[in-house]
Amino acid sequence: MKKGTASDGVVYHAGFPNAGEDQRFESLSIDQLIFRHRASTYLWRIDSQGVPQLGWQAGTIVAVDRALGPREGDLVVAVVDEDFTVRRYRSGKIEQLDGRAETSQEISLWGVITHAVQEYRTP
Amino acid sequence: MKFALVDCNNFFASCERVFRPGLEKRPVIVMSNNDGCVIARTNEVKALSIGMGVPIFKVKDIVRANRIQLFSANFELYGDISQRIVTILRQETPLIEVYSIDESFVDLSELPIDDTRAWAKRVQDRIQQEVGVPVSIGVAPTKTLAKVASTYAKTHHNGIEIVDTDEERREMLRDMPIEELWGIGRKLAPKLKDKGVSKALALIESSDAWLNQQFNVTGMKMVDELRGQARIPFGDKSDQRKMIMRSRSFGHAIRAYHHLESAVATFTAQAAANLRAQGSVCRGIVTFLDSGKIDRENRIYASQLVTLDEATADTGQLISAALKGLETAYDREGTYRKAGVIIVNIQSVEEWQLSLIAGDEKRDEKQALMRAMDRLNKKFGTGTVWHASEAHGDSDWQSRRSQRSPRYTTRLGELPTLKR
Repeated sequence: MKKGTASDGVVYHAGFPNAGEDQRFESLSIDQLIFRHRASTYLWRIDSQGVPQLGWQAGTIVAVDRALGPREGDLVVAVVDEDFTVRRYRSGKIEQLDGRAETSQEISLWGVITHAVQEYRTP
Repeated sequence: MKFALVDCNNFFASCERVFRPGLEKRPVIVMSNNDGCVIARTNEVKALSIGMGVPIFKVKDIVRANRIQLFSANFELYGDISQRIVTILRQETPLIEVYSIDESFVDLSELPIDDTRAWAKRVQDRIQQEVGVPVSIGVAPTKTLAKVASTYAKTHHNGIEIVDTDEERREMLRDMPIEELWGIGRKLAPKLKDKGVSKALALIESSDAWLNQQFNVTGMKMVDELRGQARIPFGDKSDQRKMIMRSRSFGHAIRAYHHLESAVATFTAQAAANLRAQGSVCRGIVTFLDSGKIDRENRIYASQLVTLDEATADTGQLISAALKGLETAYDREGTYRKAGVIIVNIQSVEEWQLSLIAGDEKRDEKQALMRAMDRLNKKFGTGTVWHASEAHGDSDWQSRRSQRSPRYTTRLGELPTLKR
């Protein structure tokens, strides 16, 4: 016999249970997504030229995590001739977004791009 | 016992380099905001014999000739980077004592670490890789030895010095100049040198009778620690506090604003860390300065409360508030022996959220604040604490920071830029 049905003659309160009573939770925040690693995540802003290849307009905010090792196809921040640039990691190398090899000798990986936040309406 | 000191190399200058790759091998100086003294310098600058605290105008020819990059201090950036490093340390070990903005002690005694060197290397690599700042790590049986070891590590063994055996300890202290030691100031060092003692090992292997003549109780504690006997306890782990104070007496009287400024920023970063550690936020911070007894009659005690519009536990916001307080409390004519900050009007995050819902946060907070002010005024004398809005002179606070880098990590409007 199923327990807790009305035929048992037991009266049940049918209101919604208050989840807040025995459970602690936080409202969602986009931080949970972007700052998986608080210590190593830095925010950047795309300059006035934007990155059309990726559909990023000028001013797009980009999250970069320095704790991650790059994986095949990752977007990364690379220092090219002392400039910070958006590049792609492929076959163990840093290449330009259109797939061309990077010509500069002075190139190093700064961090892996994890998210882009596009603002469509400024306050 | 086994303690580690994790010490950032040329911390402020290293923070500036995180966002300026072109400065990797170039000399960098960070200046105090108001009078342009050197408060941090890279190794390239040290090699040019430019000392700490030197007014920049005195070395302007060297600066130009060597294309030294100058920065005004950017304490929001340094506070945030410091916080990131502490976050990593907390992931690696439960027992940490944030000693200053660029140094943290770690108690390794109880931790199941088989290979101390491998542990230190891992921490060093993580901070370099994830935050972008180089650190030196000293590990030793006492805190004082750990501190010496971290200094030693800056020029030996790729930034890691582990002092395990007595031999290693003596080796490290043999050539260590006494002025590098904790607690031996610029005043004491020449006196000891006059008596023929200039190296740490020679000092601590002097007779106890002679040492007792040179040092007070604190000094003898240091000697014991350098001999390998732990005398300084690790951190303090108190529960939720309603006021958090961080202060320190200086070894000598301080007049220069920039010294006070970095001290206050450091204390604030520590206090803010404690605040967060206990899950609280605050609405006010008091900065205080104390001249100590000048003579029988006179003692200058100046302090300033700065209230915050929003409850916060954010290091950057608290540091800028504390520095505003310092601006007002500071008197050009004064000399100070002690400085500190007190975080007041502390609430738990839960309390704060509840009060927001109740909609009477402002009223409650004002009452609590008044009580806090009353207590302070009672303790230190009327007029100790007053609202920033009652005081004058917030005026040219911002304008002095002509060469300050953007606050890359604490202001959405100042994020670093990325090109395609």
